[in-house]
Amino acid sequence: MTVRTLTLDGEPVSAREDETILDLCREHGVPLPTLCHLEGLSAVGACRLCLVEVKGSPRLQPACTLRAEEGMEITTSSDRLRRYRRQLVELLLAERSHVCAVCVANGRCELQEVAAAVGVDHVRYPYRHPVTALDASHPRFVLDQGRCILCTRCVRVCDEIEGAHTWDVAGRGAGARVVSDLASPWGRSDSCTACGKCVQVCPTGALFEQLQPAGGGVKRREFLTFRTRAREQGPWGR
Amino acid sequence: MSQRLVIDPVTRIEGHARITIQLGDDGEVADARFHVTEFRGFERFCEGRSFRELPAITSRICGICPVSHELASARACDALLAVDVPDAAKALRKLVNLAQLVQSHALSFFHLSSPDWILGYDSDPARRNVLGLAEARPELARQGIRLRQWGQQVIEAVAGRRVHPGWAVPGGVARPLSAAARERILAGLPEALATARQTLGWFAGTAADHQEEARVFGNFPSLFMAMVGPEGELEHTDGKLRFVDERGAVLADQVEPRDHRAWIGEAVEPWSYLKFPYYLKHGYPGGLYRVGPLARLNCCARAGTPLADEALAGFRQLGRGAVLSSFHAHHARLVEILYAVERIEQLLADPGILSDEVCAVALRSRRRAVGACEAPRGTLFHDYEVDRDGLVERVDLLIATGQNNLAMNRTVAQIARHYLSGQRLEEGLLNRVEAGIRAFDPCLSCSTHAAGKMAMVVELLGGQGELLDAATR
Amino acid sequence: MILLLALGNGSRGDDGVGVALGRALAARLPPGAAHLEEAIQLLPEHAEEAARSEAVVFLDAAVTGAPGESHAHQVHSRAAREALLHALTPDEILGLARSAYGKAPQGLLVTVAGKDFSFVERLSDEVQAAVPVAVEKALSWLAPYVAR
Repeated sequence: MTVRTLTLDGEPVSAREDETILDLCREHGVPLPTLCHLEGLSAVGACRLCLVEVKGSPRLQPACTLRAEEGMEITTSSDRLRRYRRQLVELLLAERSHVCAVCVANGRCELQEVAAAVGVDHVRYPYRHPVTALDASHPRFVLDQGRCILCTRCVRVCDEIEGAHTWDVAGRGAGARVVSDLASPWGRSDSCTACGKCVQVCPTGALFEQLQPAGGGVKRREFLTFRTRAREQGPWGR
Repeated sequence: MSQRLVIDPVTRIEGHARITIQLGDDGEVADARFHVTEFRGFERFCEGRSFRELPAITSRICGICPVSHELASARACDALLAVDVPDAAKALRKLVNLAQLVQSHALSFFHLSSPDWILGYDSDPARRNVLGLAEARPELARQGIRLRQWGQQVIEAVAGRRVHPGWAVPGGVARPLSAAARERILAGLPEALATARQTLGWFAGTAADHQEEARVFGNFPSLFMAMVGPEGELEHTDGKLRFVDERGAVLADQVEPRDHRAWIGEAVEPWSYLKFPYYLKHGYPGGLYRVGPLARLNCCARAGTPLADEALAGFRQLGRGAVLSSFHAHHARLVEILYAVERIEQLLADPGILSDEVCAVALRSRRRAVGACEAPRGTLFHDYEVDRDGLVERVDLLIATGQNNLAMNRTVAQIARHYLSGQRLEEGLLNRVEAGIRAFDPCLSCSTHAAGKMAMVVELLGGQGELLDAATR
Repeated sequence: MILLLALGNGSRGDDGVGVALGRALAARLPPGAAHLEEAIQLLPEHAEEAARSEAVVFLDAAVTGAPGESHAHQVHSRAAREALLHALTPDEILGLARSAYGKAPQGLLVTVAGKDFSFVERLSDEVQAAVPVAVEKALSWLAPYVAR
C-alpha cells in the first residue's frame, strides 16, 4: 500500500491511498462539521459542510469525497470557510420548518449541534415556510418533510445496508423531496421492510418513531458499526 | 343620542381587554361589553401535525397556565389511544394540576386582588398593588409570595420545568416521581397549609366589610358548570361534568366531557373573538353559565378533604342554594387552595405514586376525542379530530375565560349601573369595574384563538383599538 | 451573604450583559460569598431572597447611553410605582423586601449601555469590553461586605 504525505492546516500528515481528507481530519482530531456523512455509509458530499480549501485549486472541495493525494495542502478553517459553513446551515434552517421546541429530536439533533458549532445565532435569510405534509401512514414511523435537510442518509442506509431501496429523492432544487417507492405513502410501500434503519440514521426529527414524544428521540446506530466492522474484518461472527 | 364610555385597558389582568359601557338615550347604562381583541390562531398551527405533538404544542398557548393545556391535551390523546393511564401517572397529573391551581390562585388572590380590599378601591392607584400591600400587611404579602413559590416548586419537582414542562404525554407522563422530589414537596407543605388556613380564616371574617361588592360584583342568578368526581366531590383532573342552577339543584350530572357538545352551545357575536358558550337546553343567552372556583364549589357535593369540607360548609353560608356573587370567587379560591394542599398531601402519602410505570403505550384507536380538566379559571376542553394516520384535522379549544364571558359582561353592566352617575367615568367606577372583572381572574391569551372563520371581524376589531360598531357596520 | 441578581435575555444581544456581568462578578468573589441568580425580570419572589441578603447587586443592560458606558449607583428602597406591570424594578424589590420582610439590604445597580438588542447570542465589542470595568465598580462597592 502506498503512503501519501500531505499537509493538513500546515501540519505534515501521512495517509493511506484509500483515505479521504475527512478520514484524516477525524484521525488527527481536526474538527470539521458534517451532516450527510455517516460512518458505515457511502460518502456523497451532499451537505457541503466539510468543504476545505486545496492549495492551487480555485474550488472548494468536500473533504468526505476528496481522496488524499501526494503533496496536497489542505486548509480546513479560514474566514471564508467559516462564513460559508454558517451560511449553509442558515440556509438549511430557512428552507423548511424547523421548530425545535416541539420537535422529537430537540436536544439530540445533529442540525442543532452543527448550527451551534458553526456559530449560527440567528438566520439572516427569510424563512420559506414551505407547505409540507406529514406522512404518518406507516404503522410505526412518521416522516416530517418540514424537518428534512435532504442529507440522503435514509436513502443510502436503505439501499446499502438493508438492500430495500425504498427511499429516493424526487424533484429538483427547492422542490426536492425524499419519497418512498414511487412517491406513494410510506405505509403503502411494497419495498419497505419496516426495519427502521432510516429512522435511526436521520440527523434531525424528519424521520421518527410514532411513539416518541417531543425531545424523546434516541438514535440507535450500533448496527452500522457492527456492519462496518464485519465487512472490514471479513468474518461475521466471533 | 346614545353615548359610549370606554375603559382601556384593564390593568392587572393577564392579556389585554377593552370594555365598553353603552348608555341608552335616557343616559342610563343599557349594556356593557368586555371585548377581547387579541388574536392567536393556535388551532390552525395544529392542523396536519401528529396528535402526539399536541400536548407540547398546545402547552405553548399560554405561559401562565401551560400545565392546564398540557393536561387537557394529554387527556384527549389518551382517549385517541383508548388506553388505561397507569395509576401513578393519573396521580401525578392530579398533583401537578393542583400545584398549578395553588400558584395561580395565590397570584390572583394575594398579588392581584387583595390590594383592593386592604388598601381600598379608592386608594391611590400607585399604591394599590403588591408593593402597597407589603407596606400595609407585610405578613400577607409574604405569605402570598411563599405560597406561590411552593406551588411553582411542586410543579418543578414533579414535571421538571415550571413553564412548558413537556411532561404530560399521550398515555401518561414522561418521568416517574423520585423519592427525593416527594420529600422536597412535603418539606414545604406544612407552611402552605398554615397559610391557606390562616388566610381563609381572615378573609371569611371580613365578609361583613364586603357586602356591597358581594351585592354588585356579578351577583345574579345563573347556571354553573364544573368537573366533579364520581360521588360529586371536588375533582380537577379526572372527573365528569355537572351543571347546577341558581338554587344549587343539579340539572345534569356525570356528563362525559366528550359529550360536552350535546350540552353546550356556542354563540358568536360580531364584536368579539371570544365565542359565547351556553347551556344548550336553556338557549342563548338564557343558558348563561359560569365556570371557575365559584362554579366548582357550587357544583360539588363536598370537597373530599377534612379541612376543605369545613371551609366549604362556611362558604355555602354566603348564598341560599348556589352562591351567586362572582365576588365570592375570591373566597372560593382560598377554599380551593386549602383543598389542593390537603389533597397533594394525600396523593403523596400513597407509596404507589413513586411507581415507575407511568406511561401506557398504544397506537391510535379513535378518530375523535375530547380531553378536559379544571384549569384555575374553569373547565378547559381540548376537542380533537384526526385522520386514519393520526394527523390532526380539527382542534377545538373551549376555554374558561370564554365560558365566563357572558357573565363578565353582565358583571360590568351591573357595576356600571350601580356606580355610574352622569356621563363621566369617575375613578371609583373604573376601579370597581376592574375589580369586578378581576374576580373572574380572566386570562385572555388563550381564550382568543378562533382563527379563520371570522376573518371579517379581524379587520374590524384589529383597527386602532377604537370602539366597536360591528353591529352597525 | 451577597445576592447577585443578573437580569436580561441572552438571546437578545446586549441584553445578555447582565448575565455576563453576574458570572464575571461571581467568579471574582470568594467561593460561597455570593449567590448568583439569573432572571429575565424581577418578580416579587426575588424580594424574599433580597431580604435574606446583606447586599444585593442588580446587574442589567441599559438602553440609553453610549454603548459600553457603565454606571454603578446605589439603589434606595422605594415604595411603589404607578401602573404596576408584570415586572418590578430594583428599588421596588428593596422596597418590597423592607415592607414585607422588615429588612432591605444595601443595593447597587450596575448597568452597561447596550448597542444591539436584536436576536443574537453575543455581546457587541464595546459592551464586552465594558464588562471588566463594570465588574471592578461592583467589586469596590462590595469590598466591605466581602471583607467580613
